[in-house]
Amino acid sequence: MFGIKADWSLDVFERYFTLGDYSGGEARWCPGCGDFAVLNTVHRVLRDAQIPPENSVAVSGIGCSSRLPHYMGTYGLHGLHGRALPLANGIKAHRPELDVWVATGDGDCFSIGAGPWLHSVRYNMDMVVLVFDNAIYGLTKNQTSPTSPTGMTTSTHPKGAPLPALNPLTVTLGITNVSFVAQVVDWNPPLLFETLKAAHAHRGTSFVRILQRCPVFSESFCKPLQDNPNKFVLLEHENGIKLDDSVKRVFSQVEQHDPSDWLGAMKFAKDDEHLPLGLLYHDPDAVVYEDISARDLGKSDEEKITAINKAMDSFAI
Amino acid sequence: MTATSANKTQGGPSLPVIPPAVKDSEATQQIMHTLRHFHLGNPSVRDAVQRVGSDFLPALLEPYRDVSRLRYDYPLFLFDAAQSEANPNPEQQAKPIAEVLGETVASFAPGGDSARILKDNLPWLERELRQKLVNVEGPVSATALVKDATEAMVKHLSLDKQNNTRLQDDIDKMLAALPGNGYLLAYGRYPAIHLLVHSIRSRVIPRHAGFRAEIEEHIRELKILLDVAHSQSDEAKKPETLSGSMGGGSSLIDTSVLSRVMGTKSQGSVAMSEERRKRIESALQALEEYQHSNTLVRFIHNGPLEGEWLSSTEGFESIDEADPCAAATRHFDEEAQRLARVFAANRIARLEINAIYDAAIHDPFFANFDWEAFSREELLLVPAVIALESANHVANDGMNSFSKLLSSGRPVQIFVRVQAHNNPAASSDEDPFQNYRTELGYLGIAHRQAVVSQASAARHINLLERFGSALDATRTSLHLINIGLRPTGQDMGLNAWLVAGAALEGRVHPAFSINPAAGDAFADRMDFSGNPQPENDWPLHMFEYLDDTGINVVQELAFTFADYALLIPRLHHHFAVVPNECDTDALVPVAEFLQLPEERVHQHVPFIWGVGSGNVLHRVVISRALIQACRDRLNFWHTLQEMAGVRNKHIDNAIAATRAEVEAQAAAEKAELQAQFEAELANVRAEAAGEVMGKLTDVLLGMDFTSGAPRPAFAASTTAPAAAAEEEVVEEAPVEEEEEEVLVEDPWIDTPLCTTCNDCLEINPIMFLYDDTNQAVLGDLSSGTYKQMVEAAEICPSKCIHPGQPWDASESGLDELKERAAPFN
Repeated sequence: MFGIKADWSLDVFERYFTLGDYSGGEARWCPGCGDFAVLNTVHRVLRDAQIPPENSVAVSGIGCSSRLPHYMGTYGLHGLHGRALPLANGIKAHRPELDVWVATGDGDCFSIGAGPWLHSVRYNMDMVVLVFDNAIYGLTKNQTSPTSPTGMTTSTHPKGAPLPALNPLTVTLGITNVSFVAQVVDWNPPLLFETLKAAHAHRGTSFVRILQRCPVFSESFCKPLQDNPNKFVLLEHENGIKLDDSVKRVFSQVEQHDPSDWLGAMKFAKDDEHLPLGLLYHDPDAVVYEDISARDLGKSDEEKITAINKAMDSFAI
Repeated sequence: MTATSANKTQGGPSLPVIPPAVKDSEATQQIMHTLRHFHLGNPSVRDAVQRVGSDFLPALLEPYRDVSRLRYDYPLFLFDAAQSEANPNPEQQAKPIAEVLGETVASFAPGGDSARILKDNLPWLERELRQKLVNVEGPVSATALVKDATEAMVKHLSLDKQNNTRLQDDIDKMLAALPGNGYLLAYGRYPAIHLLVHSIRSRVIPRHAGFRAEIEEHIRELKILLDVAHSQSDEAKKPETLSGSMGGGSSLIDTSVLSRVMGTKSQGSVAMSEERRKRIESALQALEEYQHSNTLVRFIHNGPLEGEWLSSTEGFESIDEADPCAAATRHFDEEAQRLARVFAANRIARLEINAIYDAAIHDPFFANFDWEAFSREELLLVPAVIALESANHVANDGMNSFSKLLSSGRPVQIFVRVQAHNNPAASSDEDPFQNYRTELGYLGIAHRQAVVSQASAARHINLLERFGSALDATRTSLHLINIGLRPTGQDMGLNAWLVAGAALEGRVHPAFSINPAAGDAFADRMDFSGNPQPENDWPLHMFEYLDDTGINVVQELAFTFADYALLIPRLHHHFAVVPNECDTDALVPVAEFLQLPEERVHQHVPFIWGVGSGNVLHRVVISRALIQACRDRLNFWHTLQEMAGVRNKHIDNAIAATRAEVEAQAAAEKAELQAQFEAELANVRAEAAGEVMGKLTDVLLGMDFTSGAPRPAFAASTTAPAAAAEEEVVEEAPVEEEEEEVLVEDPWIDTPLCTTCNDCLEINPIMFLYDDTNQAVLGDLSSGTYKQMVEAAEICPSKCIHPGQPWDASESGLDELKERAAPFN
């Protein structure tokens, strides 16, 4: 039409950000820690989206992975143990325009933070939740976490963890109003990048469980998985995560899965023999709580007081 | 995630909205009464209707109102004419700058993440170049301008040192890879003229180089001919000449004796005739005197042009004449006469060199050698003459010389700038819709042997194709070009390139070309490319808006001549805004109105959709005069369609007649076959009935009736299925690919798998580096040892380092290191 081509809109970056703009200094984790890969991937996703660093917030609880906000060039909040999600929800409630990333771990999220986990997923506020799951309390040196596999030797269970590990995928999928559930490994950056990119593009709470290597305390958790890619099944679908050939070469077991299929997602999530990688579930139409909580945010204090008084007056006898 | 910022100037504009309004049937009656009077041209209601504001746009053009965000084909990058092929295609002559920059960067950085910062900011560079070229007329050297723009970009980005170095390296590579000696051409006042001149230069400069080489060769060979002739002359046989030609050896020979012997005994060669010698000398002189002037283009205009480009363009001669067409004839003849002597001399040289000059045949030919005897190649060497005319001049005072030149056959380019909405025959103070439009293109076609091309400056590919074919045709060519600007050079409130595109879209300035050199039939001569949806009356596009109840409505909308007219402020008195409370079916879109049968026209009032300030959508009623103009344009469009064979009534009639004939024949055959079938059926029935009766009789008589009787032939022929042979599909057994074990010699890193753990960089930060994505790549191997490489491979948590083989045989402990490296190779 009128000789206009598809790329007619000249999209110009008025400000341009490089990876360095999202970096907050030298990251200090143990050699071989999977957190490095996640950190760099978050930087890359932000760089590609060209989000001004001052419009992004990284929020965390307590744990090794919760150091992530320190290494971000964005705003950050290193919160209380298990309380990363409530803090993030608070930020979104008051500043819904901000770009929020949550860094939490298997201990921080699934144990002490289990309550906020359930309700945050249900609230479905627009943020990316990165769960660094290394199946161990690493920062406090080797205590059993909810996802420690049965028999894993820890300082709290020297004879091996006695209980079956919690399955965070089935739990999350079971929460009402869940909108985005994915699982990845830290040691495949192409898959990690595409998954976090999709999570970032989703409007709602994007829950991403990252199987993360801890070479110091829980090598037995990830090393067998890293050495045997056949332990995984890669989920593929036109509405799922974009998979390039290099990813498929590593994870050769590929299955078609429509991420809108909740029952199918549950089936893959429950499979202990073949761990799913990719997007399990996606509902872009789930209710987003800040659409409700952000109403009337722009009102002045006087207007709010007037509204409260009016409400109170309605009870006057 | 939606929480971003306004960092990027992106995202589509919001939808136009019809404001909510209470529909009022009583008010509607009154409004429609007024609007009908307005439509019919009643001057008394002029003040009673709401006029369109200067910010009104046709609804389909509203999304492109903000010009700063519009990417369009200009500035064009013009490739170096001197490096051009003899017949370059349009893409070898010019490309949009966005494409050239993108291709240039991709040439040295093909991967998505390489030269990332530069690639991400090419749109910024493009915008900067476009801004730098505002108010710059004509082509300007590209390299310097792009360099300036990159410097501005570097300043704008203010990157840290490391990224700045990366960016600067990529910029240097881009500048080095940018096609050399290119020019940038903005969409100024005369874009089509600049493209025509560029097209001429791209064709003529390489040809001139070839011609010069040919002349030099002919000069050399003619001189040899004369030298040989001289050696056979009496002068050459004189003792002193012989002595001089022998150099130091002349003292050993008696040259006077030799001279006598040569004078009396020499045989076998005939001295050159005086007539031939003079002819060769004359040709040689003409060729040697041929000082090719640098003039490639003589541009004749009647003085309204201005700008530095008129004097600064190389090989371009600007000539101010009152009647450009008349002057063009004179200038072409002068130029042709000057070159006739050179071309004749060149041809004579060729004949003489091949010793086939026959005075009886060739003397008369060369005595009358003028431009009409030029070959096509020779005509293409004559400096191009362009006569720039205004549409009004050729349709009025200049018609005589215009017509004469078009009929003359001289390969002159007549370039006419056309105001698409105007009637060229109307005077400046006259309403352009007062009379039917004088179509200059149709007038040009009437001259039959001239190339006629109507095109838009906004479609550079189409334009360059047309210029190329006109120049190659070596005939008088008429170019009717619309630019989308007012005659004063001001835009019409919207980007001129877009307005020119809208003129194509609204059938206001349809694109076509007639090239008589292509054949005698319109099917051969006519080129109808460049028109959107050429099979339709008007192009149809999807249009989306929010109605007065907030509902999103998507509908198909035609872009008509009336929509285009809304872009022309001078024509705004033909439009009246419909108040929102008006609720009636009597208002119909223009395209629909034009289809109404005559008896229903008076029941309706035509409107178009227009968008005013605040993105508010309105229906806008148009005047009857404008509707008549729409009909006039549509009529010409139908004529062109017919000439192009898109919708040809003759063909439709012929098809209908043939179809009727075929159908009648088929019906007759069908009836005949049916009659035959029924007859055969009756026959078979009768036979079968007889057979059945026979069997029944046999049964009744207690005879054996179980033996199979042959079935009637008719039944067999109708029921036997054709045995379809199933093709056996033989699947080839998959050939198992044997994985060849590859011995990795050089170390390498599978960078996409790097998890950015820093471990390798801690071993050697020079041998291992991070790339644009903070993932490891190999740096300077000489800075480290094979031992370090193997250690890095061992420590790498993602196992993406492959050490290869040692590169320094003098390093100690290599056997052990190679063993350690083996699992990682």
